[in-house]
Amino acid sequence: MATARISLLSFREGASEGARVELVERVRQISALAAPVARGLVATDLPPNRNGGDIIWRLEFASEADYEALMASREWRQAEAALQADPALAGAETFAFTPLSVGERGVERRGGLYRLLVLALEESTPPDLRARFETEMAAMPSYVSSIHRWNFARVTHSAGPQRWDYLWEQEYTDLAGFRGEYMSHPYHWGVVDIWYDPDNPARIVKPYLCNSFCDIDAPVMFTRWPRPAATPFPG
Amino acid sequence: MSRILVIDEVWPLTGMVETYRDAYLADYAPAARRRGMTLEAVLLTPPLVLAEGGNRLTFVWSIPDASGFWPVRFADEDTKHAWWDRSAAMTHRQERTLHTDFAGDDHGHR
Repeated sequence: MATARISLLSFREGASEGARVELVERVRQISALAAPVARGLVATDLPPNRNGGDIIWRLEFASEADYEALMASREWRQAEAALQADPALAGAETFAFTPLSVGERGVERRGGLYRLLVLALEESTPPDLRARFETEMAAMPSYVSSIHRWNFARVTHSAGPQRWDYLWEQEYTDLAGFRGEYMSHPYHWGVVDIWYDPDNPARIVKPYLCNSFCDIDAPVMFTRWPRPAATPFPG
Repeated sequence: MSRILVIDEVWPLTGMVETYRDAYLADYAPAARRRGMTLEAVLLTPPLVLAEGGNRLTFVWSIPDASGFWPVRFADEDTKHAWWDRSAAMTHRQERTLHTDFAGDDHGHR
C-alpha cells in the first residue's frame, strides 16, 4: 500500500537565522537517507499558514514496507533523535498516511504551489456523516479545475500533541489557482465548508487544523506512487 | 456574481418559539451583521404559534457575493460555536443551508 509521511516542523522562537538555516539543512540531509526508498520535499512554509509550522517535510514511499523498514532502521532513528535535539526546533507534527482518492490532470508535470490541510473529526461523528464527508472532499477536483494534482488521505499514524484523521494535499500551478477558483468555487463554500464552519450546526471538523503552503519547482505527488490515470478538467 | 443566501431553520421545543426568536435576534444576529451578513427575513411556519408545538422558524440572511463569503466565514471563529451549542438546547433540530439565486430567464430556464 502506498504510504507517505509528512512532518511540519516549527522553529524555536528566537532562533537565529543561522540556526534556522542549519535546521533546514539537517532536515535535507536526513531526507537524503530516505532517497533509496522515498522521494522527499523539504520546503519552508509560505505565510500565512495555520498551525503549519515553518518547514514542510514530505516523504513519499512506494510501499508501506519501505516506510516501515526505514522508520525502524538504526540510521534513521539516530538521525531523527539528533533532529529532535536540535536547539532551533520547537516541535513537530508528523503524520503517516495512505491515499483514499488521488488524481492528476493531464498537464505538464511542473512545479507551482503545494498546499496541505490536516484535520480531525469530532469523536462523536457518526459513520454515515464520516462517509459523506469523505465522498464530498474526494469530489472537489471534479468541480475545481485549478487543482491539478491531489490526494485525499486517511492518517494512519501521527506523532505530536494532536490526533489527526485526514490529510488533503493539492498542487496548483500557482497561488492564484488556490486563492482564486478554489476559494471562490460554490462547491467549496457551499458544500464542503459546512463540515468545517463553526457557524454551521452541521460542523464535524475540529477547529484546530493545519494549513500549509510552499512553492515547489517540480511535482511533489506521484513520484514514488503510481501516477493516476489523467482526470479531465471539469466542464 | 450572485448573492449567497444563508438560511437557518430551527424547530424550537414546545413553548420556545418566541423565546428562541428573541434570543436569536438579540444574541446571535448582531454579531452576524457585524461579520457582514444582512438579515432578510424571519419566517414562521405554520403561520401561528402552535401551543402543542411543531413550528419551524426560518432566518434568511444574505451575503452580497462569493467574495464576501470568506471574510464572514473567518470572523469570530473562536466564538461562533457557542451560539449553536445554546441553540441546540432550545430546539429539536437546527440546520443551516447555503443557496444561490437560480431563477434563470423569464421561463425559469438557465
